[in-house]
Amino acid sequence: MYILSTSFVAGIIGSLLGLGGGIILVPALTILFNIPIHEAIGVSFIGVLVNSSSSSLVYIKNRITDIELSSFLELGVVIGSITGAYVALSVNSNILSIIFGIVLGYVAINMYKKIRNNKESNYTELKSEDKREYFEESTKTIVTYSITKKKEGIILSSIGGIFAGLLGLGGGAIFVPIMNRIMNVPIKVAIATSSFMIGVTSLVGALIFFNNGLINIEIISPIILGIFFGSQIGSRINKVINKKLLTNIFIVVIIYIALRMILNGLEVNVINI
Amino acid sequence: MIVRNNEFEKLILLVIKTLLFISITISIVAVMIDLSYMNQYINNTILSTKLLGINFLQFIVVFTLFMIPISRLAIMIREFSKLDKYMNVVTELVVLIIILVLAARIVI
Repeated sequence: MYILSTSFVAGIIGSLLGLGGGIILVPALTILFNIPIHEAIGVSFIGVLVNSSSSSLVYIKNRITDIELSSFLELGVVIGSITGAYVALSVNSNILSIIFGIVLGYVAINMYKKIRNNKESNYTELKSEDKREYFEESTKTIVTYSITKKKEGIILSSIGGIFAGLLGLGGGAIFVPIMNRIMNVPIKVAIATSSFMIGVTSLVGALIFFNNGLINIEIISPIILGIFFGSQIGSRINKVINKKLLTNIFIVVIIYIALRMILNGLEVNVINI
Repeated sequence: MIVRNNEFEKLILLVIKTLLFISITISIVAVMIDLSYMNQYINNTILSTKLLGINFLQFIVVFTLFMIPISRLAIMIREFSKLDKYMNVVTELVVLIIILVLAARIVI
């Protein structure tokens, strides 16, 4: 029941901040339930898979997922994810906890920069054969865009895949800026395509951790339900809430979690919450 | 100009929706049985069956969930080959083979 409510909250927060459940679920399971970080990462892959599938439903329905782009980046991302998952299995849990804390810190800084600048890449229509399009619901128009720097995109996405496999995260916090800022993909398409790709990376991670007995089957069902319903409710709250205030609050929370994870990794005794 | 293939997206949507629905429904049943301690009283052969060392219901939950990316990869391979996009076909095929090898390692 406690795990169900924790993953429910993780699903809501993840959906509100557009991060997926993993980034909240892994620290919550390790800090609140003393679940070893390797097992927390294992079940997090399942949570991420659920989150990716349910959000993909909405994005594909709205026709903003670039399926061809996901196919283009997927192989590199999967190879990165396999590498990351095997590195995670061979790395000491303290080191993994410190890496997780550092990545959380990066995500918090990225979120802070995003709300401060409040801008996205100004994608331009280029003279290219490879023109793509999506339907922009808010303006009821078809937007055309062209993908640039494909090689850089593949290399950086593979590196993103390593972090996704290493830490049981979806990798959206890494893939979206790569697609948007480097490959010139509109932010909406980048988010939709990233969540579509994440399904495969999390499956790869889950299979590797499952094979090594690091997925606790007993807690899978509450995690699936918590993340699924949490993300559904989160996406509805998203429309009515003051997102700037909320993001500011969660930046502080994420920095606190990041510090806790780093201190846990350094085996510094912290008073329990 | 790449024009989005409506049928292609509809098929992927249908598969994800169906498998996710099955997985969520069985998860609800599994959690309800667990919370109500009904498993102590239900002496059902289906519930007590274990596959790969996992409880039957939880096996179905995990299996259907894992089938979501696998089936969408299979659909993408079929559709990309119809559209003569062989580069995409090869990429997706390699990803699918990697996943099947990883899954086979669990079974064997």
